Amino acid sequence: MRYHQLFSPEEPDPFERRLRGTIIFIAGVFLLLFLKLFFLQIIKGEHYRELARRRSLKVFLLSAPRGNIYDRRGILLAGNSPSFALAVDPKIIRGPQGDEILKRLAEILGEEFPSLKQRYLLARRGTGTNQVILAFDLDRDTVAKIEARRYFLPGVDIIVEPTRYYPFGSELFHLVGYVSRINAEELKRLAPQGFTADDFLGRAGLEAQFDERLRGRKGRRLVEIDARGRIRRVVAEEAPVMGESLVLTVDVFWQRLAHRLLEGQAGAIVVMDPRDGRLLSLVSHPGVDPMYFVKGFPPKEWEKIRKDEKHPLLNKAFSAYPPGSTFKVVTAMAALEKRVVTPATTFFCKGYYRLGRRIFRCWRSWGHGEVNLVKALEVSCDVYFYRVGEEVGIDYLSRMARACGLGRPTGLGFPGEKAGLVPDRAWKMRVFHEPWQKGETLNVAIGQGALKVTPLQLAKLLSAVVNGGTLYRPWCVVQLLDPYGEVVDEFRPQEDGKLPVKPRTLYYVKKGLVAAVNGKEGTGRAARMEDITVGGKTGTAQVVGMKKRIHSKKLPYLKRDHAWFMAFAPAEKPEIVIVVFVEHGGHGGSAAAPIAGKFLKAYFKGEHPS
Amino acid sequence: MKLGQHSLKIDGWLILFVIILLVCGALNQASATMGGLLFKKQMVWFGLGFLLMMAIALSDYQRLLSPRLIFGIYLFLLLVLLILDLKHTRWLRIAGVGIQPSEFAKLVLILVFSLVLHRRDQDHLDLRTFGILTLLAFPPIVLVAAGDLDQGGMLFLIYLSYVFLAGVPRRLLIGLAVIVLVAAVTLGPKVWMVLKPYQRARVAAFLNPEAFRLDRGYQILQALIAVGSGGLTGFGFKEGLSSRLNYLPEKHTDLAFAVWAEEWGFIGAATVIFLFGALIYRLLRLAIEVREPLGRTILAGVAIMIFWEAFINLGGILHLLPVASVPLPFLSYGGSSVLVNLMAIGLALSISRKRYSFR
Repeated sequence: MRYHQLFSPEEPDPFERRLRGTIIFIAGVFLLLFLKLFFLQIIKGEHYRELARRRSLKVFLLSAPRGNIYDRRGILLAGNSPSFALAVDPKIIRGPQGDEILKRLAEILGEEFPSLKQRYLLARRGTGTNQVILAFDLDRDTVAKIEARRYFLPGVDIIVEPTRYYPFGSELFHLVGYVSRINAEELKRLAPQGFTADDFLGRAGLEAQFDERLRGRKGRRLVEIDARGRIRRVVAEEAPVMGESLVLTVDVFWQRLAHRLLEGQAGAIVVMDPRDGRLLSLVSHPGVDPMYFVKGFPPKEWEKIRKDEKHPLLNKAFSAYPPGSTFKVVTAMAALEKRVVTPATTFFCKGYYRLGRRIFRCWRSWGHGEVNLVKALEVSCDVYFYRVGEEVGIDYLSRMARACGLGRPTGLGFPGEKAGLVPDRAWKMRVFHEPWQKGETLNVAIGQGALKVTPLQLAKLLSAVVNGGTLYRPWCVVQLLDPYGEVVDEFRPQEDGKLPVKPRTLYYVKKGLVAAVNGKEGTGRAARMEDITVGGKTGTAQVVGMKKRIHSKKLPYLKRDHAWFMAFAPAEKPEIVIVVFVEHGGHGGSAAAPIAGKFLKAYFKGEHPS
Repeated sequence: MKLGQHSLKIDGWLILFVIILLVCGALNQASATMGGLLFKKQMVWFGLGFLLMMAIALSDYQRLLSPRLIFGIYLFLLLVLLILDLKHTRWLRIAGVGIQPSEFAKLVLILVFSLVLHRRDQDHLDLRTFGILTLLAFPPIVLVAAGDLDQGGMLFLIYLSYVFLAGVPRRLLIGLAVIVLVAAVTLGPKVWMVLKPYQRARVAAFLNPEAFRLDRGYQILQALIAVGSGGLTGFGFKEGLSSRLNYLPEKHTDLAFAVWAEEWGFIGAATVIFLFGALIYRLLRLAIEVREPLGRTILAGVAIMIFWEAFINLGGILHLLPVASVPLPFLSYGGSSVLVNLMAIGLALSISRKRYSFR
């Protein structure tokens, strides 16, 4: 009977009315759902897509292999070898779950969990990156163990990275230099340039000088990271580009020989081609095995090196020392140029020279008798040069020294090269606030006093003297090669001015230097050879002033004299200049000259020094 | 069973919507479960459910649903729920297959409520009918809520819907609204203080998921990223970043729609929302067309059940509501959900065949 009402259109069924109301309500709700969906996907779509990308895509930097360094024959002096490092992601390794993973790692590494955890916390503090390196230089067994348990070690990664490798160890330490890991402070400074905590920086020698060229360009790898921190897929990769390689003028054979000749002593040997200033060898002894810097020093080793009185970290080839008698070459040139003396002018050496009330002694207390310029260079007569120096005066002498390249870096470009010191009136006033004393000129004239030069400067100077007066900037890199071996850059000899002297002056100075090695009373006879004429000059630089000459051997090591010897050969047409410096070695003629002699014999005759 | 002329009156639209939704669900499960064992199980449930749906659709619901059977099922359900509560589990295990009686409780309640309203057919709800509905509703609601608060809430919503469907007088409705409003303002803060911390956290995480990004807010945040990053066209089948890389928790069950929206974009997600809307609209239209009182009440109940299921799930994922752990019909994984929803549709189809006939 109710159905009658249903069929009357004017009075709708209340149930139907409520159903229609329900339809409207539900339609409203669905409109709301639809609008919210539209808002999320269309209006905020790009925002959420960015969030998704940031969450699940990660960029890893791939370190580029450093360029190689070759000697002039193509022998590898610095290269790369793969090494495995253990990296963990601090976003995943944290909380109790992270401890669990660290515990598993500690077990694999054979380490105590607390110490590993402490190391992790320390390492994490330093870096803001997505990788914390927990261990370097893993051996293959450990790598295999970790790889096999990859699934149970989310957030743990093995990084294969090229590591610097120096086949010749300490023998090329001071020339090639070394790299070591970037420290926290540098990282802060260099992070904007794309450096990360596991990067290496060139610290000394060529590694530092050519750091930017050697470094190469980092690659990048875009990967998908799942919710547990595992890499699921490599989306894109940009391979790293290896750095440029260096080809040197240096010959590793001569380099090793020179290194061996200084065995047991502290000092430096610089071997240069006087015709264009290229370096054949640059040795400072002792050196340090650069691998210590790459892999980290054991504390004991570091302590040993720090306390060594031979200063293995110091590159003595361009540290400054008083030059001793080697400087007489400069005084001689100044005297001839200022026409204070002629080559024929003689002075009488009676063993000392009196200036006012002061006595200046010759190294030979009984004197040399009548000496001219050549003789004075041969026997290294101090009195002759006292006299000449007094007449030349400090102003002219210091000007000549500077014109010879002293008192400023040679232009080799290595970081840490010293300028040395050429004293003059202005310097004295500036530093001591006192006027110049005449006696000081005499000291400078024989290479003592405040005067300081580097072995490299002497090599540059002697090269100019024997090649006709051209100062060449020392250089040791010939070519830069790209990873395919194509030459990117080539270096040529660079002139650094001319000696302000006449050829005649050079002729007499050279004659004196030849006499010093070959003359009957020559101080450098230890470097003499049978059929090749060698020229040279010894030097003995006092470290502490003394009233009486005492034999160096009787003094404590640090108070002994520095021994110098610089030589060139063959005298007629010089093709090699060698400067030997032995720190606290004693007498130049007996400590430094024999070393140069041995080197020259090996160089010209292939004689292997015993 | 006789296939007479009645079978021709089966509602084509309803079947079409359901089939498209099932296809979407199959695709979504193939992606969310990586085509694994769960996907195969779900396909078996789909097949089983579809057969069940067609069987029910072709049967005569009036003969099938005797009051005795309905109350029998109701009592059996109560017994099962009680036993499960005592065993502290939601799952009934029969021959290695897990079944969630709480899902079936929805359909059972719809049948029971419809029968009561049919028996006490009046223009408006009287107090007696209200009392009977409430008495019948609360035992299963309490038993389900004890193990699964969200499903209990779902049953409660169905109960409330039936109360309103039965017709609450307008004056009473307004009065109730005023009381609820006053109570919310005065007692709200006190109730907030009484709530347990985890309950408070759930609301707080809804209001500000960023602040709880690692625990309670994680789910909604990842769901929003997944849905939003889908954009207009989505990442493509099996290509969703959030689902493929496992950032989405519960991606094959509660957050299945997020996977769908991420992979098929606005086009796919809007299609699914539209299909649900169309399905519910069609069910309600049929309820208006059908003149048979038991049938139309059941039809309305089925529509309302699917509406609440879809709204609670979608609203949670789209951040209109706090996330509740309820499956989305056809798209989420779950045998019980699939069976219950397909059985309900089957019932609706069976009723729709009798739209113009009277017995």
